[in-house]
Amino acid sequence: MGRVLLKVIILGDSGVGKTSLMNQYVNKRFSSQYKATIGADFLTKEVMVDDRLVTMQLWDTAGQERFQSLGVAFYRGADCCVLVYDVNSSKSFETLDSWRDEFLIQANPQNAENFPFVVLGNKIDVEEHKRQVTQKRAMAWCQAKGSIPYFETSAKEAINVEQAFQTIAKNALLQETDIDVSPDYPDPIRIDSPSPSGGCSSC
Amino acid sequence: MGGGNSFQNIEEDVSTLSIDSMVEIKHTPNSDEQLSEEDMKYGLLYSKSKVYVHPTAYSRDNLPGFVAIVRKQGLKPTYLLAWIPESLLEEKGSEEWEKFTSVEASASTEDGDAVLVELPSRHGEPYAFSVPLSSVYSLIIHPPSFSSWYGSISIHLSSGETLPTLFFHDDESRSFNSIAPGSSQPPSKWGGEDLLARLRLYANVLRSSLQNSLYLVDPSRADIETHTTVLFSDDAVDEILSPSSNTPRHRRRGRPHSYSGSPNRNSVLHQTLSSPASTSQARLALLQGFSQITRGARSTAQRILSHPLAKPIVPYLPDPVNSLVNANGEWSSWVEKGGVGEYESARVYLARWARIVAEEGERARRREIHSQVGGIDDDEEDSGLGVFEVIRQSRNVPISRSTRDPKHPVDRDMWAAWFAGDGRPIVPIDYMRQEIFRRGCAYDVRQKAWPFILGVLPWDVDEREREILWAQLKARYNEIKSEWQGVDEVFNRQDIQEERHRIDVDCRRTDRNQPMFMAPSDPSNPHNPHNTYNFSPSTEEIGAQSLANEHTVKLCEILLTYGFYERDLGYVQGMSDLCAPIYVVMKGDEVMTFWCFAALMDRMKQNFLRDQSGMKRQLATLQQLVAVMDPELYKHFEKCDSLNLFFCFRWVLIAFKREFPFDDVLGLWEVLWTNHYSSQFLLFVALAVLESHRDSILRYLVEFDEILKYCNHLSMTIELDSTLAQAEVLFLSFRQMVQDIDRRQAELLDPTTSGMRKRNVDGGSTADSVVGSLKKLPFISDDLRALIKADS
Repeated sequence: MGRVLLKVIILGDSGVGKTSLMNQYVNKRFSSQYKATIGADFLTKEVMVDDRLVTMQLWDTAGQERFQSLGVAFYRGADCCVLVYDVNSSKSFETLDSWRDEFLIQANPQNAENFPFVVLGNKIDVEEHKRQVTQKRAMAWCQAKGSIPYFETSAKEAINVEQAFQTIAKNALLQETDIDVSPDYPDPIRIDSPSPSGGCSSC
Repeated sequence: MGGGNSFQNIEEDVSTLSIDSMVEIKHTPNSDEQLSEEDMKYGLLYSKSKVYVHPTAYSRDNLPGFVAIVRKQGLKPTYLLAWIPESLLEEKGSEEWEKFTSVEASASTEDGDAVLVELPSRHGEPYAFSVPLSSVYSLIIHPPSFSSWYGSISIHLSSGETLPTLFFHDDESRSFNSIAPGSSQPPSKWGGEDLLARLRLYANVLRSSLQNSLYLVDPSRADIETHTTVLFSDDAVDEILSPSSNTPRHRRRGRPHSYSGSPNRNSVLHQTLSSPASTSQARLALLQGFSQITRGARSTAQRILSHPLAKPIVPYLPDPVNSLVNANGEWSSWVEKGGVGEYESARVYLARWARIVAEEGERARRREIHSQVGGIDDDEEDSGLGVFEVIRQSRNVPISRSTRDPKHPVDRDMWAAWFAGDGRPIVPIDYMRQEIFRRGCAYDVRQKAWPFILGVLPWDVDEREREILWAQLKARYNEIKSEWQGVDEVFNRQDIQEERHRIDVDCRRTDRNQPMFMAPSDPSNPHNPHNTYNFSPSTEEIGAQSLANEHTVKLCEILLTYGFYERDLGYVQGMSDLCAPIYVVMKGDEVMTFWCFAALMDRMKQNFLRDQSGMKRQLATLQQLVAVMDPELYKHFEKCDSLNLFFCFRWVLIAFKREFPFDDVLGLWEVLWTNHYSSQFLLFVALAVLESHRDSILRYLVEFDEILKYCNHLSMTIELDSTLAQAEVLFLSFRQMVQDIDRRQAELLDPTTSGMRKRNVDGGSTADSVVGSLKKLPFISDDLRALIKADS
């Protein structure tokens, strides 16, 4: 099996913590100083999924819906879409529907009905009484949309972040494998190069 | 590793041999050994003219000379590498000169019938040298590039000394302008490569896989091991870097070219490291590689990095390398620190590193020259020429110079001198704009100057009239603000709540490192009025956000009010970035900030339209500009599926706000606002940034995502003044080019000139040839033409 790149798109309203989640997962860091994302950026991380080494490319985009028409370029070829909301903002939860729809329209994946989404309810570190979206409500929505996996996370306290992205990677890999069923899909690395594990200088 | 051993024996001899008649360097053990003149004949094997030493940054100080490979006869012939200044050869007379030029012209690789020459003595010639090849440890080779269009070779000796860097002025060199017929070698791309190819006949030259510009001459076994360890199994980099023969053959492997799978899957991002079947193997191979480097190269790297000249670059080196400086880095921590565990595209990494080292080297060079010439301004010598070279080559446009003088900003006195006693300006507005374009404003002038540059205040009025205008503006602002302030049914309306939330979220994370916007020092204090300030629709939400303060709240109010002033637009992300610097410059004056921001938005609101048409149009114009100014880069973007230039999106949307430190942003913006040359000067700044990184982009980056990553990471690394100087040169060159094209077109279409031709040629073919000639001219679209207008 060749090396796999999993393209993951992270969507959600502005300020729900997309950049923070991504940075917590990849760099194990949290900062309250992240600025609003302008344009797009991505981080990459290598992970083991079921004994396979895969590279996740996590795309972070601007949260304002106005910039979504630019998303097309990035959505294309996505293997998984992560929808993020802030459990302390019902508005950010209510827009999940439109984020999901918009993604399906723009990315136009081959198997739209089975395309893997994962939902993250972020900022659970904030005091309980400020919470506006209950776990029950969120899970009901996820269930209704085709059993989307749901995680409650805190990018700040690194709660559930690892687990969530592990699932994201796993589901993305399934999607990826589903697509590349063609048996003669060539391994791009091995074709021309002799034993890459030789280690020493190749004279 | 074949090929090197036959020369090992020479190496041993040479440490005791001295053939240097004119070596400035004193390290050779027997340099004072007396040899009679007769012994000083050498067979001239190779010669290349117009190889310069650049003692200073001033081209007038450049010393032309010949680089030569000579053979010292003996039982075992010894080969020397020499540089002889033209002035020395001239002293020897035309016959000696002839020998060098004829050997250069013959370009023969036969050594047998070498002409005998003398290596002139070095009296009074501090730069001349001749050294045995076996005393050469390594060469640092930089092919001609965008930033320095003369390729160069620096020669480092085993003793640790460095010879003067040689610059190959191929454009002047005879051997380069006419490739000798019958030459057995394929034409080289530049003089240094030619020399390198020849050196390979006499020594084993190994290109380091650790640093691509480093070539080791007759490397030791340890060095070979060290420098051939493949850090990244990324042969593509090598392939790109060495279109010809720079890579030793044993290091060259075919680049995998069969990526027939999904087209999205051929990024280096997934083939950075070699791909053994399992992680454990991958990790093992990687760690082995690192441990070899550590053992073998640590002492070398330490020596290099501990050298005083290396100091300026050390902070910029990747951590793994950096850790060698103090030799306390164990290889295990390398892996951690180096981000190898994380994962990053090797190419993006290499490109970034190459750029940082190059830039820091350039800065160090300038500093050095600066100190040598006693602080004389060398900016004029440097500014913008690098950019120009690319255009000159591709478009044959005459040289333009930047007019900028950022070291002498418009200060209070100068500003005050532009106004009469009653406050009416005594200089024309265009002069004011031009001076601010050239010099920029001193910090304390900005608050006064910006309302004029932005057009909030008319220029030609006196102080009394201005006071009246300000009063009107203040009243108007309060009027707009009162549409929402204190009007609960508006303030708490659903759409306004959402707008408030959007604004609040962004203002809490905009320029919080500016003293005015810093988070309150005592956030736990419940009596702090700003903690309870109710701008966000639900104060409950602030728990996860940085705390507001009075200034972030005011910023919110200004932006919300703007939404009532420009109803179709509303608040869009990016606006807080544009507004905050104005707020700081206006020292928190709400009314001034609002009107300056509104004026800025008049220039920039096209960026925030719902359909993104303004952004698309600007990026399309930039794309055309790249196509006309740098076709090679354009083709590369095309090849990389990157013609959308999305990596410039942030630059354009918020005018480089995120790319420069705060103070630089202020300096950049006021220059842009002057409309001195073009109301879209920003696009020339973007072009200048792209141009100054074109080498890295062309060499290393082959995918859209790589270019995006690279460009995003340029943030806070771009030097403002040189970029602006380059942008100006680019603008002037572009304008010149458009004018030339127009003139040429007019000539072709002019009935008097074409009528004259008609007498000689039949009408049909004349028309055809005119059409043909017209077609050959680059097409300048209306959007491009608009760039040379100062007012859109």
